[in-house]
Amino acid sequence: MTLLILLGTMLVVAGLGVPLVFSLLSASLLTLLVVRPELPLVLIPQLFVQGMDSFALLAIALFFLAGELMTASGITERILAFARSLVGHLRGGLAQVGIFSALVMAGVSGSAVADAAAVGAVLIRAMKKAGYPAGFAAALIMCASILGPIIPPSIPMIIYAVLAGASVGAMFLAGIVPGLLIALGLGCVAWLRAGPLDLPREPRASRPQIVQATARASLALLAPVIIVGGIRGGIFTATEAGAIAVVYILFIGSFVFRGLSASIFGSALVRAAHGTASIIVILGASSIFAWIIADQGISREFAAAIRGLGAPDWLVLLIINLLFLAVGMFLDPLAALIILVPIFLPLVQGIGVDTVQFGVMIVLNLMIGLCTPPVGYLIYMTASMGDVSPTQVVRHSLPFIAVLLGVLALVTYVPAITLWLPALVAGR
Amino acid sequence: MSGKALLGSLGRGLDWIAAALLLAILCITTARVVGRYLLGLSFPWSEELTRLLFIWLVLIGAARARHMSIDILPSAAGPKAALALRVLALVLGVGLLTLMVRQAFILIDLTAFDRFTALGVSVQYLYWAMVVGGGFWILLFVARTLWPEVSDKRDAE
Repeated sequence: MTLLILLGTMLVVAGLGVPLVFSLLSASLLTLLVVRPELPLVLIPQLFVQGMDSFALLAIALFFLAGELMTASGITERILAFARSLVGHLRGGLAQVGIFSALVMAGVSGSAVADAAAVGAVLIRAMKKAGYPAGFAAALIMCASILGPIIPPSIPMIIYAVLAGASVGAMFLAGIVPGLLIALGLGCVAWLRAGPLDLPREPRASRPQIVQATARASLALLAPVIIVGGIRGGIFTATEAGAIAVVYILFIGSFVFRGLSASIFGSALVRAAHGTASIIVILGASSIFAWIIADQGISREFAAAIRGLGAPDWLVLLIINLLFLAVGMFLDPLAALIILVPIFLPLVQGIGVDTVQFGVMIVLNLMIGLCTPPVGYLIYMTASMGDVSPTQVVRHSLPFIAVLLGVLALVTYVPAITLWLPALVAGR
Repeated sequence: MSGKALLGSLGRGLDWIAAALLLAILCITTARVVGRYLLGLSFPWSEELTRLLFIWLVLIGAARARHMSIDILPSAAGPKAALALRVLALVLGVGLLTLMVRQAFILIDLTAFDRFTALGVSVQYLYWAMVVGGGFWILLFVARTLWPEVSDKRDAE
């Protein structure tokens, strides 16, 4: 009953187009007034502020900033040249370059949108020029940019870690193998589609060319090593890694690559601040939501009710995945993550799914929503970059989406894919 | 100076403050690492200070940020219905923010003598961010609904 008031109000108000932060707050306020009228309302701003007050969350602002700077710094161009020299001669050459670049860029940025903007801006045009169908080019960049939040660093993984009480470092490591699998799978699809679509190859780079491209990109390639290595080695926390990443990109972007200026830095700061604010206020609002869920024992009851149905664990996981996919079609992935985790975490822990594995599963699942109609943000973004209709992008994206769903199934049912690497590192 | 021009400068001013707060967080966090490894210094107050600055960053930034919403219905609705939905969002948002700001004043009184352990300043400054940021948020929310062009200018920058 309480859950009905809470979720029902939220869905109705959000459906009317009210910003999610106010939808969550109004649902929480109404529920509190109905089920706990004796509580003082001072609880609302208190939980709101406390929900935002965590050192780990600072990393979100810093990685946002790193992503903004990366796009403007001239790093992208060097990574593209490096990717081109290594994989350009394969079947579907430029498509392979796109996937490989997205993978490398994902090691610096933590968001799919930043990845798509950085790689897509150059490559979609280049692919069109080389005779690739524009819809194919856009669909490929769209699906490859999902690597941004899967390969560390990752903004959604940080949010999940804070919500679920997991280690940010473990979440980061857990994303690496699934990310590599996605890159490999997308590469295979591009390879297979190259024949029917008559996609050209690039000329094979000579050894000196490869050496030169690698040297030019080496400072950029070092960034992910510093970020992941530093957290893994216990040298700094995830938040500190965010600051180090920004300082590093600022340094190479302004002194070595000379792509950055004070005014670019200023507007990157403002955009990062706005992006952070719009996510973190939802997190704050949802902490009131989560408090009610805990106070009323809702997620426990919910878990007991689902398990009471006697469905096998694999079926429960399948249904959770289908439900999240459906939610992800309509809701921003970060907002969906913030709302769903407190409700579902006790249930999946009850059926013996590791918190870290569930985190990668839900992040990957919700990111797929960025590539599916009707409101997949990346569809419209890459379609406009490729100057092609969103329908074309969706049509060409189907085999790539199949890869993402395949890796999602592996993450859901094979714990080792996510848990092997964190365990290996922790064991040393 | 017209009201709209004033609001435009206010918005830019808030952007500057948010940018400065993020820059401060960046510098302090970097200083932690540099201090620890290069200088052998630790700054025990730095974590609490950056957390406090972060709350200010979020609530000042929130006044200007584009907030996530599901806009399927508003974009499908006719002009009259869309206006009604915008007014609904405004009334709900302003009502909730007003409630939060008023309750935050109570928290400021309640927490006046609680101090951050290492930083030493009163915890009430966390809730001042709610009052100040929430106040600007209400003001700009009303302004954006009345004059959507004020917010369009922000996007062009």
